[in-house]
Amino acid sequence: MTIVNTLIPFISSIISFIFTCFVFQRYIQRKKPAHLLLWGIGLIFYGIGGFSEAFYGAFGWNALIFRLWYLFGAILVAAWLGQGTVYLLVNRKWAHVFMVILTVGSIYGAVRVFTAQLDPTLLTTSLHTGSELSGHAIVTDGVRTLTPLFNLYGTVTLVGGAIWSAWIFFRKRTLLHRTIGNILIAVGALAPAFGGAFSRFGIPGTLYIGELIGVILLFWGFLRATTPIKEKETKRVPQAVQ
Amino acid sequence: MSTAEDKGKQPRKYPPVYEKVIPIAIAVLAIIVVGVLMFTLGVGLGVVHGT
Repeated sequence: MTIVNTLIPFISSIISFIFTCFVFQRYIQRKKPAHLLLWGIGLIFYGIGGFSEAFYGAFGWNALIFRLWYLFGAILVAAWLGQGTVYLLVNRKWAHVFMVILTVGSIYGAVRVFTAQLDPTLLTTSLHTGSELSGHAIVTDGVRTLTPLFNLYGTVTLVGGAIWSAWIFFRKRTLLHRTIGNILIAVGALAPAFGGAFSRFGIPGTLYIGELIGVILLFWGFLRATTPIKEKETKRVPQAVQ
Repeated sequence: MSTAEDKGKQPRKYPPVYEKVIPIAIAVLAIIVVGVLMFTLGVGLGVVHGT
């Protein structure tokens, strides 16, 4: 048990669940918009992923915990968070279409993950000698190929959507807090991807650290985007002297 | 048609530091996203070992 593979994912998990409460509180206060519901669900997935990593770090291998981690933490989290952004930015009819596809895909993913054959000894042949969870423990073919598909969708929608929103607000020079918030959200959503990439190249702990940095930035971005900056900070300034 | 300048209005601007930082941040993020997408595709195609 180390701080990196136990405490850090546990903190990520706690922050995710607190963040979830903030999102659902706003969901209830507003007119129950779909994007907040989906972000809340995505953050629960984030929290389950972090909790599973901490459990593995503290108590070792457990097949159910591994399956929960792989399904929610590795496959679904980014896609469901991104689906929230789809409901925010895309025509509602198309958002529904993507929602149906994502739901069917998620059910298929759940069936594949929960029926997959696992071999925990394969974790110890990975780069980090089993100190962290990884998909190497999955023996059944075709399960791990689902991950990049979901993550591709999640990256395009969540990060792309945040960048697009930031650009729109910046172009109109309006709602500075939303511009900053969206940039923070984009960086936060990319942090686990970077952590995962460094992890694949053999640097231990980077995935978990990336996830912690990610959820902190996502939370900060959400709070920033939903908290207007005082008017004096977005004052009108004169054009350059001609 | 009169412009905002003709009417004596000043175009809305963010504070100077944000005017400089935000477009750079957006551009860098956009480039990174393309990189991440290529990496993810690499994982999907088996060029890079995935999770």
